[in-house]
Amino acid sequence: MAKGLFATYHPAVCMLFFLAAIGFGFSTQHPAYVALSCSMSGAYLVYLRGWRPFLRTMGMCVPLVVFVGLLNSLFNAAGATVLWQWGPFSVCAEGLCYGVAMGGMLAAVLLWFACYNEVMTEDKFTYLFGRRLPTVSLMVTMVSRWIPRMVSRGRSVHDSQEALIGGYDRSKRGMLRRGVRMATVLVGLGMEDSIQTADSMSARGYGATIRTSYARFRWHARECVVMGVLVVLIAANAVLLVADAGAFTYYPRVAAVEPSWGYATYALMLGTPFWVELERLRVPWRGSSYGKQSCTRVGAHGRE
Amino acid sequence: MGRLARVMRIAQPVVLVALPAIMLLWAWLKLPGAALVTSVCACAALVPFFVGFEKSRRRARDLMPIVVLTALAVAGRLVFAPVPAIKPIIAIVVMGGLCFGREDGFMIGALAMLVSNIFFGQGPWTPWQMFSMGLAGYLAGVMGSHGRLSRRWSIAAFGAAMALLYGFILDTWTIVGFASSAGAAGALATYAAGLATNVASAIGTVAFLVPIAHSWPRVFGRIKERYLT
Repeated sequence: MAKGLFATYHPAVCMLFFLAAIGFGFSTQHPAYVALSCSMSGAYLVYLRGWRPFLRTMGMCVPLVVFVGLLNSLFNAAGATVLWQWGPFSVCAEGLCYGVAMGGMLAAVLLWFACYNEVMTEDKFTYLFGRRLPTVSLMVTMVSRWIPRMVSRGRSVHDSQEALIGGYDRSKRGMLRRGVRMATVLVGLGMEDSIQTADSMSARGYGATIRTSYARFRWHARECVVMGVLVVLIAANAVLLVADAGAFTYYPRVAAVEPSWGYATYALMLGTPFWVELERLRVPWRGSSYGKQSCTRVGAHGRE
Repeated sequence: MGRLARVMRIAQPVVLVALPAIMLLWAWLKLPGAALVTSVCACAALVPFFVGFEKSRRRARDLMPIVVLTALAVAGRLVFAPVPAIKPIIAIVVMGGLCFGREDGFMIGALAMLVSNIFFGQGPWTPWQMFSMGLAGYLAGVMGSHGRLSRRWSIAAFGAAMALLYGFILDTWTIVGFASSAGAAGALATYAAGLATNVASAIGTVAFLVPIAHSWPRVFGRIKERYLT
C-alpha cells in the first residue's frame, strides 16, 4: 500500500484525481500552471517514494523532456526576439520559453503517472473496471498470473535443454535460436495447460451468469466529501484554467503572467493528496475509519 | 452475438482509420490542446474493441490462446528488455492475429502493452502503444483471413512493416502532441531520432518471425483442432 491517506481512498476517487491532474496537465502551457503541476507532482512523488526514486524517475524522464524542449525551441522561428541566427535556423527567446514550458508540461504529466503507478495498483484498476469489463479484467489478471509461470517454465525448459544438449554457443545467432525454440516450447506447453484451466473454470460455472465481485473498497462519508470537493475544484478549473490558458500567448512575444484565482483552485485540486491528510485531525473515537486502524495503543503494548 | 457487439464490430475499422485522421487533422489545422485531445481520442479508439470483445461472450476456452500469447509477449518483453535487438512482442502479436483472427489479434496486442506497462510504468504513451500494437494484430488477422500471408518471407515482411508502422504512429503522436510548433523540420528531426530504434525493432521482428512463421501455425492449428472447435 502506498504511503499516505489518499491511497486508502476508494479507487474511483483516486482515479478521478489522476484523470483530472493528467488531463489539466496536458491542456495548458501557461507557465504558472505548468510550474504548479510540476511542483505538486514532484512533491507528491517525493512524499510517496522518497528522494532517490524521485531522482531516478526524473532521470528517466529527462531525455524525453529535453528532446521535446529542444525540438520546440530550435525549430521555431515565430518569436520576435531572435537570439541566434545560423543559416535557415534561428533561435528566439519566445521559442526557448515555449520549449521550457512544453518540456515542463511533459515532465509534470510523467511525474503524475509515476504517482499513479504507486497509488493505483493493479488490484484497484481491475476493481474499477471489473464490473464494466469482466472478461477483459479477468484476462488482465490471468495474464499477470501467467507471466511468472512462463518465466519459471522457461527456466526449467532451459535447464533441461542445457542438461541434454550441453554447452551451446553464446553467439548472437545461438541466443536467438535458443530464444525462438524456448518461445515455441512455451507456447505449446502454455496452450495445453491453459485448456485445463479453462475446463476447470467452466466446471465451476464460469459464464453461467453475471459475475459478482468482492468489494475490497468501501464508500464512506469521507469519500463523499472528497469526491464532492474534487468535482467542485475540477469544475472551477475547467472555467478558470481554460480561460487563462486560452488568453496566454507565447508568440510573437511572451505575455505577462497575470495573477488569477485559477492558481489557487488548481493548487487546491492538485493538493488533494495532501489536504485529505486533514482527516487525521479528526478525533479517533468519533468513528473515523482511519483512527480505528492506526490508533493502536503503543504505550500499552510496550508495558505488556 | 448481441446488437451492441455487432455495432462495435462495424465501428472497429472505422476507428482504426479515424484516429490517425483526427491526429493528422489536428496537426494540420494547428488546433490547440493537441496532447489532451489526441490522448482522449486514443482511449476512445480502444472502446469498440474492448466492448465488442466483452459482448461477444466467449467460452473460457476461447480466451486462453489470447491469455497465453499475451503472457508470452509480456514475458518476452521483460526477458529481452536488456537486449534491444530482439523484439519478440510484435512477432508474437502478428502470429496471434494471423492464426486467431483480427479481434483476438487486437486484444493480444493491446493487452500485452497494457500489462507490460504495469512493469515498465504506465504513461501517456500507454493508449497509443495499445492502439498501435493492437492495430498490428488486427491487420495480421485481416491478412490471415484473406489467405495472403502463408509464405515465410511474406510473413516476415509483414512483421517488419508492422514494426515500422508501430514506431511511426508513436513518433507521429510525439510530434503532434508535443512538438507541433516545431513544424516540418521538427517532425523530420523526431522521425530521424526514432529511425534507428524502429529499424532495429523491424530487424529484430524479422529475425524472430522467420523461424516461427511455419512452426507456430502448426502448433496453433493442432490446438484449435483438438480443443477449440
